[in-house]
Order: sequence, then structure tokens, then C-alpha cells
Amino acid sequence: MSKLAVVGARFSYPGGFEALKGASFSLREGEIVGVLGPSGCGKTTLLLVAAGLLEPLEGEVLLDGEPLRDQLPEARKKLGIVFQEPDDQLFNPTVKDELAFALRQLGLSEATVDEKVKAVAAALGLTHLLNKPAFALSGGEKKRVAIASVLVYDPEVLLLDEPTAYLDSRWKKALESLLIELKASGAAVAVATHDVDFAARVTDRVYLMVDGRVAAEGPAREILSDERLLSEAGLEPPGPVAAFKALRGVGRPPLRFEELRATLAATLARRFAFRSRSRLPRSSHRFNR
Amino acid sequence: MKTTGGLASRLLVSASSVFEELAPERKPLFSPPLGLTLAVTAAAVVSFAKGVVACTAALAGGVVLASWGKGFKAWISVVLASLLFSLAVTVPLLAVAAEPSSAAPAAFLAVLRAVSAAAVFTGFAVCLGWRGVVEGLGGLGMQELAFSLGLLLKYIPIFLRDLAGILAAREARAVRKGLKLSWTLLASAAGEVLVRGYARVEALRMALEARNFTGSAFTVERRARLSKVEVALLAYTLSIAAAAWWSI
Repeated sequence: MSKLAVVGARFSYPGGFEALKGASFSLREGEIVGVLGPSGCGKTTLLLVAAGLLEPLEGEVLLDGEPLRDQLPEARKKLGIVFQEPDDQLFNPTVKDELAFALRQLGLSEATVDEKVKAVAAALGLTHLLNKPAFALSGGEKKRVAIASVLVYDPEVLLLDEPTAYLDSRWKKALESLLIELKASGAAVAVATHDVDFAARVTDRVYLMVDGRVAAEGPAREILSDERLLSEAGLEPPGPVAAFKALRGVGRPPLRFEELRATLAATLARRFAFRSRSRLPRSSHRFNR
Repeated sequence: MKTTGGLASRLLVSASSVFEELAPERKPLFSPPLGLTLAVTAAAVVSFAKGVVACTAALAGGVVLASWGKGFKAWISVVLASLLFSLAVTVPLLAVAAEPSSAAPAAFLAVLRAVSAAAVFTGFAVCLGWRGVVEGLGGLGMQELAFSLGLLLKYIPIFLRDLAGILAAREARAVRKGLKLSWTLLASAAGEVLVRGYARVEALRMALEARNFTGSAFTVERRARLSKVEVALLAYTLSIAAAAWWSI
């Protein structure tokens, strides 16, 4: 059963822009799912709807098989969302208050809050920034604070909107390791991104979104090696696929199962046709003789 | 932050820098609830003082506090702004007064009250930092006000920098330069700022909702005993109050 599912969601912003046109999406425990697509395709809106922060005009959001809206606000403890823009997410006077905010809301003792804040700050290299106001930080530091402010309360479902934005390669790698650890611990993680290389490294399944709809869904390896699909969604293939293509010089990614079957069938058909053509004159020759 | 923009954007960036300077990383230099109470008390009594002694003491105390809190630049900006605004109110009144020479002492006292009240309050605020002011309100039992102020203090610099960015972008594409153009562009940017403000409010609503907001976000360390510094500040504020009360 899906941990979190969005079924046929439609959503329009004030002003009439239809961001979601019947998009569906599901997330299982111990799985990292990528939501990929070009800018403005509805990735952010899909995550906000999945987190119960935007109410879809049509469709439904299910958490553990039950409608999410019936479980709010209690279900908020299970859900964590990291916004695309850290400035939108951080509202406390200092980094420490920001990390402690959700824990204090959960009614934990100050000693426990302090312990958890220090642990997550150490994991994301924020220890020296704990007493700084969030607005005085760099973009990368703010993003790490935003991620830490959600990771600190161990949500069962983690929704990350462009998590690699503002992060340098060192922290991208650290984030990859963190996500893989979370997956191993049974968390369900969704990552909306247009960073296909990051998606190729961490995701198990991928949803490819185009114009408010899910254009394709499948295993990350399969979707991310399909150059045609990616091109339709305005994305470049991941670095290794592009490199493979360049090395092969044949202008196509590795064959998929369907393509392999079709190629094999065509080859066999050609082979049989050749054999029957080549036998006919020989037998006729024999007949004539 | 340095900017090559016009006068209006430079003014906005400077204003946001004052807010940022008042938000030091270190902890408040004394108990936030006590510091805030003393700041409000000192500013209030000085605002109604009839003699110059209380005002001068407040002004001097403000200088000492600002130097101690290492925020003299922010302090002097606020003091000069309050001087400018109080002069803008009193000078025209002097001009229309029947006997300007007899009204001058009262006008001088009005300016002195406004400036010294701003000076002493800002002095305490510099030592506390914005965080201390917010914690002080929380410690005095005004949790919701503290939370709203915390948000306000975070968003004012962001808002001012947004506005400065919009202005700088417009000024960069303007053919003419000058003060008049800067202020015309500032007026024309109002719509965009409103739209961005709406987007920020919506984002803030979602950010609060996403992390279980219930309204009790602040915890304040409570201590039973006052430190020597706190006793000295208490004595200082009481002496200002006494001076103001007896109209020295």
C-alpha cells in the first residue's frame, strides 16, 4: 500500500493558471521517488498538494490509505516538506530556534530539543551557525537550515522541492547520503527536481511531469535513459547516459526490453526471409536438374 | 552591503542594514524581559519629562549602552532619524507661533524628549538585539506579539532588500538619472512589492502550517537572581524616572 498518494489532482492558482491537470502520484515506505520536469510544469504544486498545504479542486490526497484532510493537523507530524525557496520556510529569529521550532510544537523537553538540534546541526554542518539569524546566511546555508528544520523531527514522509538548489557539490553528496540513510530507515521520500544527475543517483522511481500532467512514470533507470522522453519534458539525460551516447557515437541510449524484443524479431524475420529467398533458387536448381 | 543604485535604493539598503546590525549573533547582554521592561520604562518617563536632566541622562545612557553593545552605527542612525522627524514637526510650529522666542524652549524640550527617548530605547535594544527584544516580549507573557514581532523583524529587511532590488533593476534600465526618477520608480514599484508581499504571506502560512504551529514557539530562560549589570541598569532607570518625576 502507498504511504502517500495523490489521485487525479487538479489545482488552479488565483488568476486562473492551472498548475495541475489531473496529476497522480504515489510514494511507498523505504522508497525515493523523483518528480522531474521543466520549470512551471507543476512539480512544486504537486508537492504542496501532497503535503496538504494546498487543497486540490478535484482529486484526493491519501496518507496510509485514508484522506489526508481528515487526519490534519495530527498528520503534520508524519509529513515534512522542504520548500524550494529557503526564505519562504525560515521564519524564526535564529537558526537554533528554527531547528527547535517543530520539536517545541511537539511538546518535547528542552533537553531533548537541545540534543536533537545539536545532532541535526552537526550532520548538516550548521553547528557554528546556531546563534545566527537565518536571514544573514548564504543561500546554501539557508537551504541546509531548511532541510535540517524538517529532518530534525524524523517525519515518515519527506517531500523535498529542489533540494540541491543553492548547494555545492560537497553538500549535494552529503544530502545524497542522508536520503539513502532515510530510505534505509523506512522513510518515504519524494524529490521534485530538474537536476537529473541527482535524481539518477538517488531515486528508485521517477514521475516525469509536463504541463501539469504526469507524462511518464517508471523505474528511474528506465525513464532517465530514455532520451526521447526526457527531451519531450525539456530535460537533458544524466551525465553518464550522455557520456555513453557520446562514446558509442550511435546517437541512442542502451536498448530497453521492448526495443530489444522488436529488434530481435526484426532480425529473425530478416534472417528467415533471407534463408527462404536463398533456398528457393537452390531447390529450383535442384528441381531443374 | 554596497550598492551602485540610486538614492532611493541606497536608502532602502541602508535601512535594512540597520535592522541586520541590530540582530547580533551573540546572546543578549542581560535578561531580555528585564531589559525590555527597563527600556520601555526609561523611554516612557523621558517622553514626559519636564526638565533636561532626565533627557540628558537618557541620551548619555543611550551612548554608553550603544557602545557596550557594539552597535553605535545603528544607534546613531536611529537617533539622527528621530532628530530629523522631531525637527520636521517642531520647526513649522515655531514659525506659526505668535511669539516664537517664548515657544523656543518648549520646542527644544519636545525635540530633546523625542531624541532621548529614542536614544535610550535603542541603546537597550542594541544590547538585547532583535532576538532579545522578541525574547523579552515572550518572557513578559506576550507570546503571540513576540511571534508576530519576530516575523516582522525577519521580513522587514527582506522586504526592504526586495524593494531595493526592484528599484536597482529599474534604475539600471532608465535612460535618465536623478532624485526625481528614483522616487518615481519607488512609487511605481509599489504594485510589485504588494504582489511579492502576498506571495510571501502565502508561503509563510504554508511554512507555519507545515510545522505544526500552535502559537507557543518561544521559551525563555528564567533566573531568580539579578546580575550586577542588571542591578546597575535597574538603578539607572529608576534614577531617570526620579529625575523626570521631580522635573529637574
